[in-house]
Amino acid sequence: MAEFILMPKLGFNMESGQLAKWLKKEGEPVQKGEVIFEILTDKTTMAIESTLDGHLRKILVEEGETVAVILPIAIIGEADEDIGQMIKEAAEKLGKTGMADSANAPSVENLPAGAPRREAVPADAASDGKIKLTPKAARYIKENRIDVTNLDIKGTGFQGGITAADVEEYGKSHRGRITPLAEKIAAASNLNPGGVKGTGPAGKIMKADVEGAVGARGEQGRPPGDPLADRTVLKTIPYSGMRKIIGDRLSQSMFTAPHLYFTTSIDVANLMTLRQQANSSQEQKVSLNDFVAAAVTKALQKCPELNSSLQDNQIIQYEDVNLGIAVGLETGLIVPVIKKAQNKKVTQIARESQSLIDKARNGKLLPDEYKGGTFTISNLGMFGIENFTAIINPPEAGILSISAVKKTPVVVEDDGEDKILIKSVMHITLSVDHRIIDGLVATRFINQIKALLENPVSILI
Amino acid sequence: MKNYDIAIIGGGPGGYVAAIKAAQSGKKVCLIEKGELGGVCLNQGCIPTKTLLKSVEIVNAVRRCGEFGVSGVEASQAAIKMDKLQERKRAIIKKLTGGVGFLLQGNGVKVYRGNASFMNRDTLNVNGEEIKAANIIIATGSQPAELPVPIGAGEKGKQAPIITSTEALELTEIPKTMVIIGGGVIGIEFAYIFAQLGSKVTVVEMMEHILPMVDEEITDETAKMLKALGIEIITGAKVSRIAGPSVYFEHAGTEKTAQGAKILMAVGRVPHTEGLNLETLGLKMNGRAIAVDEHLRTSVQGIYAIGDVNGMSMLAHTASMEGMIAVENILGHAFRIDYNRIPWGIYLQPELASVGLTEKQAREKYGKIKVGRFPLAANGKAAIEGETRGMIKVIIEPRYNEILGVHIYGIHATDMISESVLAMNLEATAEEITTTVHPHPTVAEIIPEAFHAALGKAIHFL
Repeated sequence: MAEFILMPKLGFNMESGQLAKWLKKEGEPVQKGEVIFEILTDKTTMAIESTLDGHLRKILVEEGETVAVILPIAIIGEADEDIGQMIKEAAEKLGKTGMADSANAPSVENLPAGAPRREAVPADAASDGKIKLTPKAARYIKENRIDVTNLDIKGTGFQGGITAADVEEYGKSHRGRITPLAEKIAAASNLNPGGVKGTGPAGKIMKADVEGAVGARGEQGRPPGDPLADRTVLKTIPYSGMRKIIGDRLSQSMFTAPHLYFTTSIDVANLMTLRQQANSSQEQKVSLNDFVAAAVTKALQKCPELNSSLQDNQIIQYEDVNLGIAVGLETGLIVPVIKKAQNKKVTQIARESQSLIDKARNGKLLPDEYKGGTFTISNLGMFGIENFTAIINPPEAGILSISAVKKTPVVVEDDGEDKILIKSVMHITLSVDHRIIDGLVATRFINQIKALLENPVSILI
Repeated sequence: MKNYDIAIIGGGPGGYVAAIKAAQSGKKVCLIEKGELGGVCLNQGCIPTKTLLKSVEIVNAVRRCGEFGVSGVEASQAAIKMDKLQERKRAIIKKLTGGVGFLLQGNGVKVYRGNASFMNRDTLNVNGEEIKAANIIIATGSQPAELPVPIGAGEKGKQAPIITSTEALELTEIPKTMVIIGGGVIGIEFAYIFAQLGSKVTVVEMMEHILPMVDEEITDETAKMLKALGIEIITGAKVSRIAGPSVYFEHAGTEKTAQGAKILMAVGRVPHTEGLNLETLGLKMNGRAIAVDEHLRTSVQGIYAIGDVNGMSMLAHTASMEGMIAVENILGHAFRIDYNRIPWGIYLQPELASVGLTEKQAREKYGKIKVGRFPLAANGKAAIEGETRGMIKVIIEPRYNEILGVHIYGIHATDMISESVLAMNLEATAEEITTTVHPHPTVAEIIPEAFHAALGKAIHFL
């Protein structure tokens, strides 16, 4: 019996997901537990497994399409099962008229998996006067500014619907209708010329057409008519998905929460000694960052003002310290959270943070593992950064930036005499949301951290 | 009253081509011409001047025939008989204008002989007859410009022997001396012709260079060639007055004079609109030219202006293309003309031909450019022809190697430029030219060579 695969709800806040990638093709056999597609939530990519054995009979959602949770994404069933009714049902749920007629053509669906479908397509896409586009094709067309009404594209999709591949193929096969100059400019601008409407003789794509398309794509700031005169484009990357989510959240934070910064330096001599002792006396290796995490946790308990958030005109102070640890990825930034850190020993924090960081780097974090933070630390010490300020992870009240340990000449007073000593010093910078945290509280908090880190035994007791 | 879809005023290369195109498109068309079909081009311009030039070329070839191993010819006696030359010229004009009439007739275009004057925006008066047309194309051409300087009699009351290009083409005697005012295309072509026919020619040009629209590197070469023929070229000279055979001009701060048995006025051409009664239409003008947009539309709906009368480019081939474009637009299309890709030729020996930007213009517009040169002296066919003077110069934009300009000074230049015009029109880039096989031996091989040079290095030149 065929079944729907639904868009999973992976977190309390998840309302929709974007289909990132299909790993199986229609007609391919799938086994229960086998990954069939990946989805993109607001923070991570998740691989979704099949819930039963069978064949991937029908892909209902194209790559790049975003659908609400618990809506059907695919149909898995026997290779020769009639899924016409299911397609109809799915089409209604997804609001896709292009699929609605499928019940009238069950023969198509009854074909064995992998059978050529193109010949079986009953109607030409444009025969009823309307052009049927798959959502991906529609998106492709939109992104590439293609006017399909003027293009004679033969659809190879269901019922002659035009797929993104059809549009792309059309673009390729019509490459002859572009001037060499326009083609060079398109290539340099990373523009698919198949999507450009030509105004030259017989619809040939000319330089001006490509320049127009490049300009319209949002390459603003270039003088019209001479768009590439001063800057060579290596590639253009859509500002979307995770990148856009990060960007939106950081701008929201930066532009709504007035940031205030406090920097201090920590003499880490004692901390280094303690860490050495800790690492030689037991199995679990503890990093400097783990000690900082533990110190911050302890300081947060003493200064609950910092372990808070501003939401809906309420300042909420939390009892639990859910400490976020910012992790940089090639694709962006993610903050896994050590839950109830106040109940955990340094070694536990070390074990847990290592596991979370590994998961984050492999894209395996579960939504639950990066939600619910109350304060965040961000450490760039391993890159030798001497000082930096971080943007608060909203709706939290603050974030602590940790820089590298560096041997520094320090003036100390010894017997009433100033002396210069070489000490291992680390800078930390606290960013607070000045709407709810004032300088007094912030300095108290950062000095608390300083005191803990310079006398690290107090972290452990 | 007669009704037409399209009425065309003027039977030159703009008007008659428009008429044929319109008739071919199924329109009811009439053409009104007050002079001869073919316009200035066929009757007083392109065709007759090139006929004169051909005779000059032949006599030069005869004079050099010994070089090519031809014997039995008294080369030193070779000369041009002006009456014979004029006869041949008239025969060619007659044949070509007859051909135009034949084509118009064959396409069903009604030809009226007479002056057309506007009664209103869709009605013309021709010899008292009313002609009504929904669309009217004005293609009335141009006439030689006059120089606004005092012209008077010289010593002993001798009248100033001023002629224009029209009269210069009718001369049956070669003047001993000729002063040509104006070093543009017309002035320089006549300077060359008459110098070769035996006149002592002086060119007086107001600008710092002759042929001011030509690439400077090419005009420098051309000026050298002309001076070698004994032509005196005075640039930066402002003519102040003419008295009898004396042309007075200011040059380098002093007043100088040049004497000519004939004084050829070649200071350009101005749009010809007299007798059209344009005042009644209130057409927007651009100086003396009829203002048009890129679709060749005037400010009055249904009225188009093509060719010299719109003052845009003043070349026969521009007029023909504008004529076809105007007709397409009357038919409901939205064709445009791109004045940046109009080629031109100057008929000397060697010839000059060009399309696109000069090096100076390209530098101003694009900043960085690449220039490729190739001398005719390195071309096999040019050596065979015995004419190795000149060069080709190509200008490309460095990023995409877009072709910006091609300038040829050499034998067959005018016949070879079309390849580059086509390349530019198709937006071909330098690589398409260098990867196109050019037959050997031809002079056209200089074209890919120059593009090779622009991209790096020419093959047949060190």
